[in-house]
Amino acid sequence: MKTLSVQFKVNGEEVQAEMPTHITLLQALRELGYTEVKNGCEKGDCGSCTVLLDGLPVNSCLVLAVQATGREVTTVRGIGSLDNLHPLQKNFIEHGAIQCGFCTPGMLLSAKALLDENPSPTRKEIREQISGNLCRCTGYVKIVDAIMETTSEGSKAGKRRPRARKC
Amino acid sequence: MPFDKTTATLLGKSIPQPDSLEKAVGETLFSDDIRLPGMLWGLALRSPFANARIRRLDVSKAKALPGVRAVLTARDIPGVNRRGNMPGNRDDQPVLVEDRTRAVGDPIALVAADSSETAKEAISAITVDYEQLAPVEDPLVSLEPDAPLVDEEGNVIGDLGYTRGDTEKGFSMASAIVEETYRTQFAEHAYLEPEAGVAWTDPGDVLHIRCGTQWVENFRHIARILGVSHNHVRIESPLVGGGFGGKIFMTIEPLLALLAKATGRPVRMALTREESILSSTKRHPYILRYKMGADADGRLTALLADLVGDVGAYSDASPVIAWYSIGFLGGHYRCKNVQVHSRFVLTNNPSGTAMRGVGSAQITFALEGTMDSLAEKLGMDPFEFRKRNHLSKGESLSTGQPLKNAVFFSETWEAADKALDRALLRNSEEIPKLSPKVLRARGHASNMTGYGRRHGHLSQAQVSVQFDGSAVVSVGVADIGSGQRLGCQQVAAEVLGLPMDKVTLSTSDSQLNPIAGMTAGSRTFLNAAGPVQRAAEPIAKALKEAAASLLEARIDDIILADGKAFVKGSPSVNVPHAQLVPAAAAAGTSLTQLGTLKIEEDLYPGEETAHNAGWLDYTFGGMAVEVAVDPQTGQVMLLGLGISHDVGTAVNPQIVVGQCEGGVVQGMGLALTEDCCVKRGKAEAHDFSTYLIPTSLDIPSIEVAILESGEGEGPFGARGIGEPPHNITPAAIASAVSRAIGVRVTSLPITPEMVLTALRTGEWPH
Repeated sequence: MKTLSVQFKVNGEEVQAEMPTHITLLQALRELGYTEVKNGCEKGDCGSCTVLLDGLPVNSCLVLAVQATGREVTTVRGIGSLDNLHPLQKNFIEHGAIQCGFCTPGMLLSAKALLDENPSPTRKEIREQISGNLCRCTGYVKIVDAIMETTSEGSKAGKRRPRARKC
Repeated sequence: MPFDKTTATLLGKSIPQPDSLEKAVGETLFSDDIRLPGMLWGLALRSPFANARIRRLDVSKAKALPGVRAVLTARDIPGVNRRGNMPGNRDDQPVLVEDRTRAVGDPIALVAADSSETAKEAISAITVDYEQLAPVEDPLVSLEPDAPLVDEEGNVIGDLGYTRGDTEKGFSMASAIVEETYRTQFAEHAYLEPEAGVAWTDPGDVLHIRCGTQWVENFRHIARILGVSHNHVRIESPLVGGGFGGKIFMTIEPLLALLAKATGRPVRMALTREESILSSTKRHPYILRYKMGADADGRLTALLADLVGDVGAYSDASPVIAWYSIGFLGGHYRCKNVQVHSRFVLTNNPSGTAMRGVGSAQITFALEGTMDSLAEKLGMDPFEFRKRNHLSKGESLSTGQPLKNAVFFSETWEAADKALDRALLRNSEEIPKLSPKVLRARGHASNMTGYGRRHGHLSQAQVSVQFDGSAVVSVGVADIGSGQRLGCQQVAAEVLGLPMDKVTLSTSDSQLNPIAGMTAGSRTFLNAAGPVQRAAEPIAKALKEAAASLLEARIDDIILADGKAFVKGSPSVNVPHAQLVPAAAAAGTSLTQLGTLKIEEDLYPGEETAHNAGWLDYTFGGMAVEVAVDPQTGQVMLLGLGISHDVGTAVNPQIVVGQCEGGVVQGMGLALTEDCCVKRGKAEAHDFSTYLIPTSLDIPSIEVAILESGEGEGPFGARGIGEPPHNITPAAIASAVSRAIGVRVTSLPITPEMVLTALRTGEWPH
């Protein structure tokens, strides 16, 4: 099996490994212990394996590990931690945007990429941005709510979506 | 002592799930995320054919490959080569095929190897000589007397029915009669997490299986397959990346077990998405014929329902789903003359199993469609027509089961309709400018979903309080993301008067936790949090007794809240739990209590149908949806959707709304886009580019209206809500599309091709 030495950064840490040339970035990351990158289809259909490559979201199952050489990979662990949550993570939790949680890492990274580019997107733009990230549990509503809450407009009155309504 | 809602501190609070924090930061170890030293890769060789005889199976080359640690066939199974799955089924499914495959994806041989590459190589080195036989593809063909036998015992799994009154007489009294046949498709659960797991044997010879499941009690089936006693198999389910019914009856657990046992090493398996869809169970396609008649006043005079369900290749959960279906076929409408018949038939298609609502989505679609057609024929408004016929509290279903709790029929219908108005208004900027040519219409549906299935289920949970006042809940139920653990935690915290973070959870371990049954049938809040409540209550009572003595008050006046006890009205004078627990222990109270919930076997003595087809209670709801149909493309766009269910008590409103939104969107997939397209027994749509689940761009504006009658069988009067929002959705969407195009939609999914054909011919194509 032909191998190559690959070297890239994951969440700021240098990673170096000898890998078969055909290994995808998804496979490489999971082998290296970054199991927060989820494998849902390996065909670019579901978005569960989304990571940021130099800040831009990619399906890591569609990128070869060698293509990441010299680049920066960000997984969900790179944007926040248990005691230092990213605002998106905090809002996902508070809005009930996480059910089974399997799509969550990829969903958060797609959302982060959008907000990095455009701090005040509309709901429509948010829906477009995450349309490559499938979720089977939530129906997306609370995910969009959570991202909306994180936008620069989010906390302004009137933009916030009403919480659960009891009649 | 009945629970006093007025002094509750956590009831009705939208507390986030306890596991969402670790999920948000990527710390959760799902089924495929655990790595053990010396772990091998497991792979299965699966049949590409739905019906084939195996003339010869040769694994010698695979066995000889370096790095291959085991190659197993049916002959290597130490115990019984049957999966078992659901008690009471035919026990007809082998773990590994013996001499004949009955379905695409049937496992024939297993390999464990040092690496995934070697395992793949070994699988390709196995040679199988198949004699292909014609698969039975159509359940109606399978019913014919000269049909080839899918199973030696015959093709019909359940032939059930009941009659009330005289339908012939009932139809003769009718001034309008409608007869329609509805068909539904094979639907995939499409949990985002494919089946995966690890198994290993510990030094005490206990086999551990760490694999996401909805039912840790499967250890019994595994023990039978391995030929070991039950105590030698332990299932520890991690948090599950979605289930929806597809992970109840064992996925890869038996395969993992066999390989780990044969090699004496830890073994890991993980299915690809294709392998997952090709080999997993599905929602049963139903062929439903409804004939209903009503008199000139719009009162039902007769209801006749005939169902043929496609079981697929193995009986799996079909015998019980056949009973559930019988229970739902008669509907929640009042009719003296009812005849219900159902047959579940084997074919060589993928096996049908439980999927969110166990048959009720298909039945609600057909029942509500027929009700709409009958209203139309009578010239009545569909709501007015239903109002004259829906059952009320105290009346009985046609199965004979009395409805003992509130039936919010009109309330949920009207609340859903108003919710739709809000949805349309709120999202007006998101509704694209519609061409004047689009066909726009509003549709509705009403539904009844059972929760708290009987089966003599004994569910148990244990609650322990620690000396510092904190508590541990132990309950053998799996969390599939919809708040199962949260429900148990919130109930324990409420009853014990503790903050949420002072209650920790131990769940989904078949040896450590008391068994509380499967995460299915909208039952978990009742059947898992219910026993938790029962376990916590005697502890709370002992703490109150200790507080009453310390505070020199009557026990009835003591409130437990936020880790303290105080006399009602005087929270400033209080005693912390840390002081009460040692006092209660000194007084002789056991600090660990077992709570038991037993749903009585014979709720309806003498009524066989009600007994087998009935649920402890039902959840009722309504839905309103507005669609725009493009007459040029046949595309259906959902403009807005309102949903309302009476959940008894909304213990955690955010969870209720989450179940509603998620259920609606899954139901939307069933209504519009999802179809496995099974041909020659094979799911032609076996990835997410062909099996189309809704994306964030497909969803309408959804508004949820929660109603609370206070009448439910779960803790604090809650009713099940996991499934109801899902099973009503296809019915409501079909109702709206039917109105928009002027043709009754009688099959799912409602594809643009079907809509265009209907518009062209004036009939819904089948």
